[in-house]
Amino acid sequence: MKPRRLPTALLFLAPNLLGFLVFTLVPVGLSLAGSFTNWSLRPAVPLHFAGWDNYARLFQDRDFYFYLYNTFYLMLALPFSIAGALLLAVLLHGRFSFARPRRAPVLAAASAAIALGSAAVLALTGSPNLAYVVGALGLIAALGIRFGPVAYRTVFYLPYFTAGAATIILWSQLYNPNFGLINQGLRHLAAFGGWHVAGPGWLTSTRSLLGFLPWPAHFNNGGFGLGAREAIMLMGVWGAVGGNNMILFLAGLANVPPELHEAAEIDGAGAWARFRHVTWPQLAPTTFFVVVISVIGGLQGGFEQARLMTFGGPAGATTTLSYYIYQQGFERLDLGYGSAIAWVLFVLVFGLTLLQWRHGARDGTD
Amino acid sequence: MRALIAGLLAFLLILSGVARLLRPSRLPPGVTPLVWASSKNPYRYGQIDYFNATHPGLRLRLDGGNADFQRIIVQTCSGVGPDVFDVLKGSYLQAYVEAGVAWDLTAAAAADGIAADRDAWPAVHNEITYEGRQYGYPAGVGCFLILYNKNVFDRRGVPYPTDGMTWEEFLQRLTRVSGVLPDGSRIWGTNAVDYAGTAPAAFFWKAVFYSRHGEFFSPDGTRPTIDTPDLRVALQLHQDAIVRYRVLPRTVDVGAGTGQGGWGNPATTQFAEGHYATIVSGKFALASLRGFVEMQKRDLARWEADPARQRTEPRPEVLRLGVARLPHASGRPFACVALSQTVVINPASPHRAQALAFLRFLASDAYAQRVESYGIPGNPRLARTDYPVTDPELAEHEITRCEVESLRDGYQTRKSPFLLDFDVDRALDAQVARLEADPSLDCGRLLAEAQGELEAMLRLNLSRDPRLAAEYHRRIGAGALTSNP
Repeated sequence: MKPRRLPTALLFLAPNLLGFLVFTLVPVGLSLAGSFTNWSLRPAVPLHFAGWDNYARLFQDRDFYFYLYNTFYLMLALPFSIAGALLLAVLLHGRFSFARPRRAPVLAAASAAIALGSAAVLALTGSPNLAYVVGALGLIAALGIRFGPVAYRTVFYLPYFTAGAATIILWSQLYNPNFGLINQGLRHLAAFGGWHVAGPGWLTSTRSLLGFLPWPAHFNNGGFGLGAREAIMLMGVWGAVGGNNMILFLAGLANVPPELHEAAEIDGAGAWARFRHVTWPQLAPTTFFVVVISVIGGLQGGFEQARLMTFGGPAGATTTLSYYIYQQGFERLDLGYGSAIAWVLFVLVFGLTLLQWRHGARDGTD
Repeated sequence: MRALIAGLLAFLLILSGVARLLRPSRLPPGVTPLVWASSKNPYRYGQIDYFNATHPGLRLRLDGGNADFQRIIVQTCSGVGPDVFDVLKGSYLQAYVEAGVAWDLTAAAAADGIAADRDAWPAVHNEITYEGRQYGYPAGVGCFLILYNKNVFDRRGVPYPTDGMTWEEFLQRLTRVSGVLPDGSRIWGTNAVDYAGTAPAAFFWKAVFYSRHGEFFSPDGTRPTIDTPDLRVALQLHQDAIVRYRVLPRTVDVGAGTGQGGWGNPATTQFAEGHYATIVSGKFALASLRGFVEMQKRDLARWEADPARQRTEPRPEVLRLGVARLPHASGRPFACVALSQTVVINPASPHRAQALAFLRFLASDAYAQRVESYGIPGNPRLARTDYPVTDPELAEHEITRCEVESLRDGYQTRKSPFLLDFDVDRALDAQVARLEADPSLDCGRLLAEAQGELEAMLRLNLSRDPRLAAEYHRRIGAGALTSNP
């Protein structure tokens, strides 16, 4: 850059730089310094240097280990989210169409009319929940007939730009063990087979699919089953499958040279072989990026769900490290300790990301 | 691109103009603004309008979404807090005082007709004072009662709950009204979930504990007394109510539910809809129940005017409310804890002196008249049972009588400067959540764990604050720090 242009460049960068300094760098620095003090929101507690006390306390804090375990446990949903996003992207990448362009509007209108009519009949005959499902599915089908894959891309991306709090509250209603749509549906399905099932406890249960915990003295897992952690994981997968990961994979798929597919096809490769040997290797950089971002998000995640759905319960089963930081800082007013947890979380995130870069980047570009 | 940026700028300018037009008008010179962080109780607006009309030099405004503990602390510490705010539990008051966001009113209150010992119910004295200093005045007081839905009891032919029952008698009676209906819906015997904090918390065990005149701290406040027979009995009865009697839902079941929306505890409206035969609540529940009953009455009127609907639908019910004092512990006299919605002044407020006028208003007869339809005023001299009622189904005078009698027998638990009552709540709520999640757990073991956790927390607090450690030593004698706890 020419020297005379530097002031102009700095002037343009100044708002961002100032914002970064004031709202990011200074607070981050303060929290690092604060983690070595007894920083409290109680003014009666005089601030003093505490050395490594907060970190020593943290490593003896059994709650911390349990919440770390919860954080990692919730991350078990990440492979499913990523695989789901990839699958969806592959399905939506094709330029399929359900009808000839000239007939599409008519067919779409007919599909919408049938869907709305069926929903109205179901609602009037006392099945409002089924009416919602049938109506929604029919309308989505109509959109697909009219606009093709673009309609589905939009529909699947909807959860991502819908307000998080609204979807979380909606899911907490779905998970209600007594009145929720999910357990009601399971009970109806089981009734067809002549069985009686109560349905999982979902957000009310400490059960988990691992069925054991390494800390039996203080925490209990409630045994094998579907509990609050699985409920949050399912919701996370639902939100993530059609989110940014799908968009990234779609962009990656658009960059795969079509000649490679054509060559493979000429060589007699089927759809799976083309995906396995052409698409998948070509998507390696995208997959690597998605995995890194997802792992970082997973380690930092769980706050909104805990705050809005479960308040970290039952019995701490859905408290993750990010919610524990909040609890320590703003419920126990112990900002020093909260900062120490935040920095340990940072080291974890940084370490894991470094590990992924060292191994994943090489594999991804090989 | 230029056109796009110019268009965006023009759009932002238009938005700025709209925002300017929508901006609240400036107050006239000489009028002091006051912000009250409180709940959006539907009666609040009338109280505020009356206050503003009778205090032309002040303009009170409700900040309805910012009364959470964390928000008050953070906003007040960063200089943008409200002028006055509500505290719904003594334990929160203690935390606010410790955080330095509650103004010490002791001197001003004595001269202003809002003194804790003279102008407020004795039972809530500890809800508005901490360590002998006064920090607020109640906007309303009360005790927990048993509110029951007469329709549910009548349908099953079960006698209503009465004053003077023991907990076991109460639970036995509830087993006769709770169960699954033919349509698959469930009626629970009772509901005791609190939403005053950040999370829904079961307090059935607390009601039992308080009925035994339980205390969380030793008399000198130097030791948490958690692993005690009183708390063991309370937790055991909580567990029995869920597992053995099957009349009490777990907290998470209730927390996941919804009511009709709007202000109020969702459990209250579910009670009004008949999902619960009784609810452990107070007169404050009337603030949301009244609207619900009026809605039910409108629905009934529509049904009565529609013969076609009469042939296909049963007659809609209107809630008929009954009330009884809380059950008592077997072999012990009645005891219950008193509650207060304490209004506290922010010490950093530039209008804190003017805010005292609002607290004086809370102690006045004019305010008492505005609160009596759903609550009990903080000034005991102004509690009446002869005011006109709007909805006879809501048993207002009967509820007031029960509240006043309970307040006379009510007490406040001890506080400790070494450990926030708030932390005791959290530790015990966590153990109750574990118990609800796994009823096979032993109550004694859970309490022993909570005891250990709180003792460790107390030691940590002492190690972090030399002032506290000195006071602790003074109370128990030097050298005892390591042995007690």
